[in-house]
Amino acid sequence: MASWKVMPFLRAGRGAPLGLVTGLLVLALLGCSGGGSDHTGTSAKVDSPNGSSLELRSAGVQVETTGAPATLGNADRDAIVDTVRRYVIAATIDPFHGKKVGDLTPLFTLPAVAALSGLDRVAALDEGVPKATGLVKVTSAPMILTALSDPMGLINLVGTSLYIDARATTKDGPVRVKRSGQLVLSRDAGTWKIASFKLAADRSGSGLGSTTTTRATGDSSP
Amino acid sequence: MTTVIRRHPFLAATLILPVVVALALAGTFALWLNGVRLPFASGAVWFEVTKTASADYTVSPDKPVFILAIGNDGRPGDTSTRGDAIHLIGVNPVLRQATILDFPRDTGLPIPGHGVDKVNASHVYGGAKLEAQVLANTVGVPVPYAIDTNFPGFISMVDEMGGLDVNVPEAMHDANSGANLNPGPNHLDGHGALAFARDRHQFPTGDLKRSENQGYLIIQALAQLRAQNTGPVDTLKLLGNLGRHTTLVGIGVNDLYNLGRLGLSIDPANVRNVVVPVGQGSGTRLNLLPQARSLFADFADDAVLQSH
Repeated sequence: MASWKVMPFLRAGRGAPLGLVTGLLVLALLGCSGGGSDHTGTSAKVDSPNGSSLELRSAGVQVETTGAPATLGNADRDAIVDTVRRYVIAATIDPFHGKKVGDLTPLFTLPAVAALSGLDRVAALDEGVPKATGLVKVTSAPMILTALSDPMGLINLVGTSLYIDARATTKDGPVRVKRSGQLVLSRDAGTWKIASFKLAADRSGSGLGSTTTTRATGDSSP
Repeated sequence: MTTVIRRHPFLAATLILPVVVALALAGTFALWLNGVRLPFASGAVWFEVTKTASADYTVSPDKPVFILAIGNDGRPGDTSTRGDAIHLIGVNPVLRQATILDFPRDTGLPIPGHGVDKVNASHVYGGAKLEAQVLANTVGVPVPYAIDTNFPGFISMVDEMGGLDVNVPEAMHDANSGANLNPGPNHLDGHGALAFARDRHQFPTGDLKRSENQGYLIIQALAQLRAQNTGPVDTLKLLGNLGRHTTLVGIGVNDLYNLGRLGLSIDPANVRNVVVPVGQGSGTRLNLLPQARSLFADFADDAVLQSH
């Protein structure tokens, strides 16, 4: 270190190059992941609603940057997982418990709610499934989150894969719902709401009535 | 070491400067990888997206949206560019249909503050924003977004997509544009696609055929992007890549995402590509033919042509 002190061009007042180099080196070390960076996700704690078994967790976050480096904070990640959890409850678990699908605006943006009034609804919501006589068991694949940041490094859009497998026993026998696809959530007044989706639902079981669609796909736009 | 530096400052500089330069380059490269716009990295910008509407405007799932796509004649170093490839795209999100109106660049139109001039000149006077206003006034629709690319941006964009598949209807061999294509299916890289989009001299209808070919390229690009991006998360990833090469003017990534989703929701088979009817005007200008008015009215109500 002694030798650094005597280098004339690194003395106070001429130290800008060192500061610049140090800054760039730090950025180089931070930024070598390219446009998309991975953050290993830890499980976001979720509660299981009564009468069901549900676990959702994020497996990791990929950030697609369009400008300044960005990171999705744990609070946002957990809020996103929570929105998806509440969606699964509203879409699948509640109908199995005989509850009607209520107001979806806390979970979906207004354009997405509009999409749910059309043909996409049957792919996104399990209305019409028979009432379960016991526990509804829902297993899921880990959610892989993809965040898109704006040029300033702010993240307002996050996408996720979704795969759930719900099983319930009804008075007519076992019923199974498998739903897979993608969701994109946007930051909306301090919370995260589903802004668009592409989903497919497969429903099977002896308890399904003739009015229940067994296979449906939906792709909201925009 | 201290003594060596004191006695041989030139030697010290020789040893240290390369390290400084290497670190600076590493840092710069890291910034570039992260998409930070550097003043000297202008070649990486493929296009510019301008929101001409008010900030609170957003794409609605039940209303048609109109977007102007411009290919300007800018080459590296140019400061004044004409908006030569002019395509007004109307998308109907309910019907999931779209129409592309191709405007020949020499079409004479009223340009606010500049009288009647060739439509491509509006880009010189006021960039994509003014050109969008000219088209909005002419057709009678709001044009809230304009997408503007130039020669190097277009080439890079097509190359990044892995090229474009086109079906060339007739041989295209034209020294001016660089087109050298045989009829039938062709896979074009960026330079090939640009040549296809610029070729006009060999066609009897000149710029009209060129404009039509440009609209066809847009449809082919849509088909290819749809095949590669099947869901909302794929759209995010696509925008992540595009966004690193895009200058956003008054538009956020949420808007961009909505536009992307809207565009990718349209089956290319449901897109009409129509050249606006024009005839000889004064000098080298072309005039809109009377039937253009009914075409615009048909287009303006829902972005879908019912009677044309």
